[in-house]
Amino acid sequence: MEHSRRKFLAGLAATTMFATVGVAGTTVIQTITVDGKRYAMIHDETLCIGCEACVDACRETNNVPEGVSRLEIIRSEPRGEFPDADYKFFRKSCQHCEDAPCVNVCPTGASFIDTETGIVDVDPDRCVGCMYCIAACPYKVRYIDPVTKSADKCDFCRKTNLAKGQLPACVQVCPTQALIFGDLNDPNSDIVQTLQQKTVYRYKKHLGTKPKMFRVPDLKGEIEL
Amino acid sequence: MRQLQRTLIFTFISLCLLSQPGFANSSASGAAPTRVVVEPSFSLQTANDKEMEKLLKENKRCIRCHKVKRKLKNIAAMKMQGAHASEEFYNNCTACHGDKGKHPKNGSTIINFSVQSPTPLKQQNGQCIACHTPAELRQAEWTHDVHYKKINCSSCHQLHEPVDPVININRTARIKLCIDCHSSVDKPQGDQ
Ligand code: SF4
Ligand code: SF4
Ligand code: SF4
Repeated sequence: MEHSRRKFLAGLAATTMFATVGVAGTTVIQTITVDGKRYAMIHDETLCIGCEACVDACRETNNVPEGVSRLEIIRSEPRGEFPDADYKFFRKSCQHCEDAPCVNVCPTGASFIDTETGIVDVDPDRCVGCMYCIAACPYKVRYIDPVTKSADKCDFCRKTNLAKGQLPACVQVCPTQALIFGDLNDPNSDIVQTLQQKTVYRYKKHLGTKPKMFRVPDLKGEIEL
Repeated sequence: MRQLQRTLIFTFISLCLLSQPGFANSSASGAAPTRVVVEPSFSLQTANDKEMEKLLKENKRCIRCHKVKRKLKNIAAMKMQGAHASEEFYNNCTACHGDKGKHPKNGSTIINFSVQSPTPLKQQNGQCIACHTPAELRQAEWTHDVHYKKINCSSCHQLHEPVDPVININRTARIKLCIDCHSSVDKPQGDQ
């Protein structure tokens, strides 16, 4: 216990460091869940090549039916002219908000934040399909699964790969290591180390949802913070 | 004098007309007019019968040697099929490869399409976009935009085949192509 407490304090020190220099901001400190992990993800837009291997791996691993998707890679319009044109890629998926509107509006408690991992998930047995969460999510990442008729979205592979002790499918398959997954409470994790080294932004951070999806901006174009 | 003036005016007007298509093309795409885009028609290569005669002669010279396997250097027999073949011009090797020149002796100027080719990358790919416009390429596949300056077209495309195998590959095969080249040696990042 003592050990993990020390580790936590060390983590606090580490996060303070990047809170003062990075976009991660002071919210990280205020919202720490003391008794669990805080899983988060980085999408490094400077490394992403837009291959969509992640999209297909997610569908396969999590049995996502055709017609809906937990994850999309949105390609920008071309920047510049041939032969120097290039593109920017944006990952559209659940941000695992720490102050999650989808959870706040859910009348049945089907949408919940898992206290052990910080993952926002849905219990399909409790979901009545009212679609309040779909309307409430500012990131527009939720859908009704045509098979289970329950609301669904990215769960960081909580019920599949994570349960088997593996990294999320999208992270595993990404050829360029553009995706980094890990525990924000662990100062030695790849994700915290990377957050200390790279400048990141979070999409629609101003809404106060405290999203845990960090992005390394591809600075050749403007970014929407 | 008057006759000369008339001729000059006529020449000027025809020159303006001639330069029209190229001009219209480049301004329509919104790009700086870097190159005149040629119609993808082989017949544009020849302006008169004499040139046509030379073209046929050049192409026959290619085929004379390349229709059979060259055993010593193990060069496969060449057969031109599919979209780039042209019966009218005896396969029209020269349209892409250039004239025979000194080939196969040293100092050859033949344009060769491969990674190992002594032909510079820019020249190899330049041959392709003489017919395939950047706009068409982008519409067919956005990745043309980001690979054009980096790898030669023939890394992905096979141009002597009846159908280029890379065209209309399925989604999974396409993703695999990306991964085959882009995979870094590092293992996935993250911790449980
Ligand atoms: S991104 Fe949307 S679905 Fe995910 S936690 Fe935030 S509000 Fe909920
Ligand atoms: S973490 Fe899992 S569920 Fe979420 S997008 Fe990646 S593969 Fe899909
Ligand atoms: S697999 Fe990686 S590189 Fe490919 S689109 Fe997804 S995040 Fe980008």
